[in-house]
Amino acid sequence: MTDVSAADRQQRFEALVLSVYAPLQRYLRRRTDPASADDVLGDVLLVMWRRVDEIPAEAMAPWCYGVARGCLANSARGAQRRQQLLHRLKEEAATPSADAPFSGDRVLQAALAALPEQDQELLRLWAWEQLAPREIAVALGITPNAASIRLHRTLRRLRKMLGGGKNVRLDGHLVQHQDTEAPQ
Amino acid sequence: MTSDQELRARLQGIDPMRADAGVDSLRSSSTDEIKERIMQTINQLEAPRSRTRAHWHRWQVLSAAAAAALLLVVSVAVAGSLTGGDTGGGKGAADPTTLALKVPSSSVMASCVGFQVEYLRDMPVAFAGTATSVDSDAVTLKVDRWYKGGTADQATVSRPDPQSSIALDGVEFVEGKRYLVTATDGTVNGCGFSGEATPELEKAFAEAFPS
Repeated sequence: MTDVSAADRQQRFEALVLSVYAPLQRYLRRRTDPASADDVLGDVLLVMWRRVDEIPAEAMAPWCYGVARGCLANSARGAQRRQQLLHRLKEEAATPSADAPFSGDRVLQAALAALPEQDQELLRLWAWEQLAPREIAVALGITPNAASIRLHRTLRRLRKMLGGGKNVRLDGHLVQHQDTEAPQ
Repeated sequence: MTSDQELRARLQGIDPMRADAGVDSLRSSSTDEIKERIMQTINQLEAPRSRTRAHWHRWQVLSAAAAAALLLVVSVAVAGSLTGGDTGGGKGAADPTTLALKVPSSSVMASCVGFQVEYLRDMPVAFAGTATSVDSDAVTLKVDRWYKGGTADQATVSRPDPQSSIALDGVEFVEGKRYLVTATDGTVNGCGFSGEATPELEKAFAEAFPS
């Protein structure tokens, strides 16, 4: 145990909460329903409090995402929660995102969903949480080098799945991928 | 072939939280509640470390687990601790004499020594009292027993500045509860040397300060 004072700890914790609270909430709500997100947020904050001395100053948010990821997995392990989630997912599956503004969204969603969960998380951290590879490394507990390589490979794979703007067959429908690039 | 940045932008397009999706701001009362709940949970798990909105009531670390130590420096303004006489307040009886204690700024820290009656014995000020009022800035204790070093009827412990709340860590002041307190050179001694009047602490006080 260190000599870090309780006052110092609390001060650091409060500063930490102030800076990562909103990003953490977003992180969780991107990955679970609001009620579960709130539950898990409590768990995450508790871990943050216990381990406030270990949090790297240069990567506070990514570190917290890593914790959140673990807490989320724990919470998902609860049988009841799993049941709720399944139920929710079924409902979502029954009502496809017809209101999605671009058909390309569905293509991308399908492609993302087809990736291994770890790679999905990598891409989410990169695109949604807007982390750099070295920050992704903190969140996933891997080396920065590994994060870079995995990101590169996953992007290549995703690109391939998206077919570079060609028509993609999805859910029995032929969907025109609206590429952002100007047609060649 | 799409660039990484284009792919990133496209992925952001399916971010469920992208469209100004609201998250609670930290200012909102609901998040205050969440934070408070967390701090309360923490209190139940380890040495208490926070205060509620209505009361500051953390005082000192009692838990042996808390190596982090808080010495509560008390600037002692001993008001009439010797006289106990009538100060002219005119409430029929003499106004109570007051030992005014302060909690230090949070920078005043020290490591705790393990609790020993030997150390307790050396402390120049020791008393027992019941919290008669607890508010956001001060606690008043009605002294019912002086073990050593004073005669005042009551003692107050207050925060010297708003930043020092942390230093009250560890002991929750609750109105009506009884506490055993020691102080040295204007310093309330924490580290288990002050706290709620548990049978153990009372026994230690009785042993250290035989009447």
